[in-house]
Amino acid sequence: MVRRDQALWGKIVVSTVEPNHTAGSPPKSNWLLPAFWMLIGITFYLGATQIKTAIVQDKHDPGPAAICLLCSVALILLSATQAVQLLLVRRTPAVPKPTEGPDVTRQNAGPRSTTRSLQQALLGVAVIGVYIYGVSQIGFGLASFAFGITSMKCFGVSWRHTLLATTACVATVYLVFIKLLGILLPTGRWDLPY
Amino acid sequence: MSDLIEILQDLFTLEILVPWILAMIFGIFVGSTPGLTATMAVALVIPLSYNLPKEAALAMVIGVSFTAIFAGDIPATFLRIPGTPASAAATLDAHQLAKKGKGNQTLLINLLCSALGGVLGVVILMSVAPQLAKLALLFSSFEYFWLCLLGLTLGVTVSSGNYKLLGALAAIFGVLLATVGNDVTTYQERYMFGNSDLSTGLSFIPAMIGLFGISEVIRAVYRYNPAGTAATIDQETNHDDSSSGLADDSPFKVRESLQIIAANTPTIAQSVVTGTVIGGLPGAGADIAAWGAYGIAHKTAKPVEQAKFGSGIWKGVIAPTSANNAAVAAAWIPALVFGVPGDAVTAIVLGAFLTYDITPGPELFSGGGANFIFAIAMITQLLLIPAGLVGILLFGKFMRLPRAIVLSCVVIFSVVGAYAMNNNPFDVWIMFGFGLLGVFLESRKVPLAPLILGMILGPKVETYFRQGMISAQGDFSNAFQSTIDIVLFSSLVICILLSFGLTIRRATTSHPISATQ
Repeated sequence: MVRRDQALWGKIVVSTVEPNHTAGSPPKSNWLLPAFWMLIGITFYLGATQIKTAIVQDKHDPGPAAICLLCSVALILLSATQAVQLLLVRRTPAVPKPTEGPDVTRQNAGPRSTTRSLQQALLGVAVIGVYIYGVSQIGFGLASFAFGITSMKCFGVSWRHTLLATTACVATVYLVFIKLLGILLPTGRWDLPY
Repeated sequence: MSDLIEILQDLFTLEILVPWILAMIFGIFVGSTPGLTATMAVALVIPLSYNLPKEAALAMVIGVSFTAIFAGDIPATFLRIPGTPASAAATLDAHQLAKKGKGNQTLLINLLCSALGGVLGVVILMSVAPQLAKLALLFSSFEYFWLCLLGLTLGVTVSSGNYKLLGALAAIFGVLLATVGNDVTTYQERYMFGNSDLSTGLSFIPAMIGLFGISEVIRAVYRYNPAGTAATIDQETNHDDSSSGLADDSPFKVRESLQIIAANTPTIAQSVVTGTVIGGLPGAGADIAAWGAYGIAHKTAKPVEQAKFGSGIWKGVIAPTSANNAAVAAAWIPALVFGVPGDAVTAIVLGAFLTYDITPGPELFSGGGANFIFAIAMITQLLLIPAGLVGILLFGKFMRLPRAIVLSCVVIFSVVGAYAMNNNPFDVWIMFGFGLLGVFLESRKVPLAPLILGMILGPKVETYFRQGMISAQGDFSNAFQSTIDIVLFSSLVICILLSFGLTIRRATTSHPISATQ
């Protein structure tokens, strides 16, 4: 009976709480998420304690910090709950991992492919980051042109298609956003026309 | 009857029809561009309508408001980037269906349900406008507080699937993120760290583009396999990795789509009612209506269907899309009867009414002006179908380009969309940050929808709570005084209990105990 209850509790815990989990041997990376929530909760709680009471404020107004304190405490408590449930799952019998949607983490992929995918993703993040920085430095048009060419070439698109697609994209943005809608896009330090 | 014929004769003239259709195509374009909202579409059309006859101007602004809301579903389906906040709820299932090679069919169903929802919404608008407007006027701060909290809870329970706790954590995180910036009541700084760019808070649109768009791009780069081959097939989604992946050459399957719509008539009916009731409440808007309808469709579905929500089920597309256009129609109820705007779009349109010399109120109904508006709204729903099909086909062509090109263009358009909201480069960094956050959270299977919902509803929950407390002189028991309060609070409690019960039932039935012993 005890085993039965334990198994049932395990299923409920697994089905409600734990992602990427094989009961019985949760990987250490599963602690990342409760730690993340806890960190966020504590940061927001400490920030909430620094919010000053306004000079002009209705005496019945709970104040600008109220919702921050309430939610940060809730976040801390729920992240602690998640951590406790992780501990409980460790003690319960194994339950087959439910398969839900694509495994974006590719934990089942081989180490070589995972490393390569990770490198690709990091390169992608870096290129996007440099592009956004470039927009404010050299203007939207030039930065977008450079980004388009770099990113498409990284993906192995032919020069012809790369140049065509980048030019078409930048020209569309120019015509629609600047000419039609009158939205001013960043011109950069050199104050380029586009 | 003669009035109706007269109105139709007035409307079907070239000088009204041409700007009307052009405005609707403009609405399709703006609505399907992430970062450009339906509100922005209406705001941009009004200056163009100043020099036109009053009837043409009215047709333009009403037409653009409906089409922009539908068009938001196009990138939501193909790219998983909701074009407008009202499309966020439809994103969950529509994108999953598109991944299964049903993008065009999903959008056709989406389009027809939008038009149908709009038609029914207008019919309800015409028949029960005064009564619903009176009900909306009964809502005070605490009623709105409970309504927003109920919307938030419904969103969490529905969109989190089996991971309710993660959904709740994400929603609370969203509410906390929404508190960043100057407090709207007292102007006290909150979590700004001396950065004046944060004074107006974390802009919602860039955050949404980042969470749903940039994170998807980064994940696509992670999955991308050049390998020197033309294409690789994602085993789980079964789509071609070399193209945009969601490009759909399959026919629209009109007959099958109509059958699906016919089979889901009860869902459409309940979603239209939900959309109308929520849309008719000032300030609630089409986004809350869509989430509410999605939640109700989930709750009323069979257990087998409930498990499929979020992984690509027609009900998950039909419910929010029928509700959001019905909500747009319903938002006109308080606007036309009392001059109280139902949402941001109608607020802008009410401002434009003054320019057109139209005064909302009972006189509008007695003078016949309301009938003219009703006729425009109704015909807009019919014009929405051809205009929407053009939008789907054009967007589909764009999606058939190689994936590398589409991903690069998505990044460029996302940067423009994030920047264009406030002309602030800082918003682009917000988008980037939220993109990284989205990648991390989704890699840990944290649902993103509750986070977005927390960011949308968080400020409303806080504002109504504080307004309620001030008006009740600090006595929270006042939040349980009216019948509406009690009904909404009871619904909230029932929703929480049901979701827990369902989770436990699913856990106990899906994995028989004997199997593990």
